[in-house]
Amino acid sequence: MSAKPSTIACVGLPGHERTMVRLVTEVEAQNLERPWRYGSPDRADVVFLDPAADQLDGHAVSPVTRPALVAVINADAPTATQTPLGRPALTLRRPIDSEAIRQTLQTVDQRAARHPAYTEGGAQEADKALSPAPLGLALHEAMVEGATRTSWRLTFTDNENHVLILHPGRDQLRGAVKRLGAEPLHGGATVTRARIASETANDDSAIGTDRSNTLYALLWGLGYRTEPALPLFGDPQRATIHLRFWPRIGELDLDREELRALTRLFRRSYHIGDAARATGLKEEALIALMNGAWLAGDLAVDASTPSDRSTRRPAAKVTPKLIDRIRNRMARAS
Amino acid sequence: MNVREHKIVITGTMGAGKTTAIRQISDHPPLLTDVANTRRDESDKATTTAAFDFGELDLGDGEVLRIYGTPGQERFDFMWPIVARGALGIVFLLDLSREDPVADLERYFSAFGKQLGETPSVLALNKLDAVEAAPVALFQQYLEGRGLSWPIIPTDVREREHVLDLMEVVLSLNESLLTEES
Repeated sequence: MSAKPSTIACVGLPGHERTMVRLVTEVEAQNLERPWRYGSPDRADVVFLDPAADQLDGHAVSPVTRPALVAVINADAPTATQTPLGRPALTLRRPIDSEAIRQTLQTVDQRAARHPAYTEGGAQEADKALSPAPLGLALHEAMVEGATRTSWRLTFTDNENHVLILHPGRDQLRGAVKRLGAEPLHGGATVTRARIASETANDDSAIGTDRSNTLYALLWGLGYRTEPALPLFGDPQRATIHLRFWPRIGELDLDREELRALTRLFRRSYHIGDAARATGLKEEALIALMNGAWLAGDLAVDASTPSDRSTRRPAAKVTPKLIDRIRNRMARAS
Repeated sequence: MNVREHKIVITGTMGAGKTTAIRQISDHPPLLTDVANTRRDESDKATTTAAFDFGELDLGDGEVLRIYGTPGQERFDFMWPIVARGALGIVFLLDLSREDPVADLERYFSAFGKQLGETPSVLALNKLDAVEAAPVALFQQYLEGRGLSWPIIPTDVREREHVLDLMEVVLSLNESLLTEES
């Protein structure tokens, strides 16, 4: 192997963990894709650090090499989204062993191969914490940018390290979820935005056309309930929208005006203002509804209404006045 | 005085909850035309609707909205499209506790024939307790396969608000069609 060795360093790790990292670079060299040597943090390409350690003060990482940071945390600790030395690229949970270290180095290599800027500090420059901005604002910002940049993602992490990841720029339902419930999303989940470093990263594995009930309901709820309700699906004054699918709305507890709006938008495309006038629902409420539909993959934007909407004529005797009378009568029965 | 009738039809298998749904919103207890159930293999109910049930909402000015429930037993299937003729809408009420709700829907589709594409319709999934999650995606695919795009609504017809939601969607479908026509 003739490649120039990369440098690995530890900051704030106890002695036995430092030894283990060092041994991996020396003893398991044949199992690594390229040579590594143990060295000083200020010249390192990869730094393993414990963000909770006291002795981090005084340490700094090189602004030139800008190493990939690997946070080493206790098994029950929340995922570290920030460390005194910068944002970690990866997290390892204790106890760590040689295999975990070897795999971490391999992941760093893979990411660097796909995105050369990754180990040159690109990831840290690209990462941007969105908290404590209101969730709706963060979503809006990421979605608007995501429409033109498919390489961005939003990651939601709650205190128990459950994760929801959204890929705004993808056509299909986007997201991966690991048991993240709806409540944490609105009760202080950490939101970060990061450039995708690897399409094959473990936490991306569930992304695709998943329309499973859990993820679907979570995304619907996220779009529908998040405040402020800023449009996630484009410019509401210019875009035309309609529902590609009737939403699976069993758990959302929508009111009748919202049901009415969904039905209208299921039948044909509208500008949001026209839809608001047609349904009597305020624009903001409509946007919230459409945000839910959009995140869950039910909404079509700037597409013609499919011509196969089966029924084409109302019943012979029906008039707007009759519908109003029945509706009023039903309301009294309610 | 002649009464001008409008109607919405609820159709579904025996025990799907048609009579229960009608009871939720009718001004009066629904008029039942029950007879002994001769098909205990189809449902455990001791009696079932022979002709049809209907409930009624007085709209004033000599107009009423009648909610009809079609007879559940298949031997009466010839009546289903007759009852639904001229209706504002049809609610296909599926009993998810039955062995094969898709097959049930298929039977109703065969019986209603071309009326399927002519009358605003809603697919309502009842008895959700019997399943882990409402198989909405399954029915979505099924309808798409038949060129139909209907609202599919998980429901509990023991709840009046749920039945009113179904009625609202039927009305909104008509409202949309009126707009499209004008």
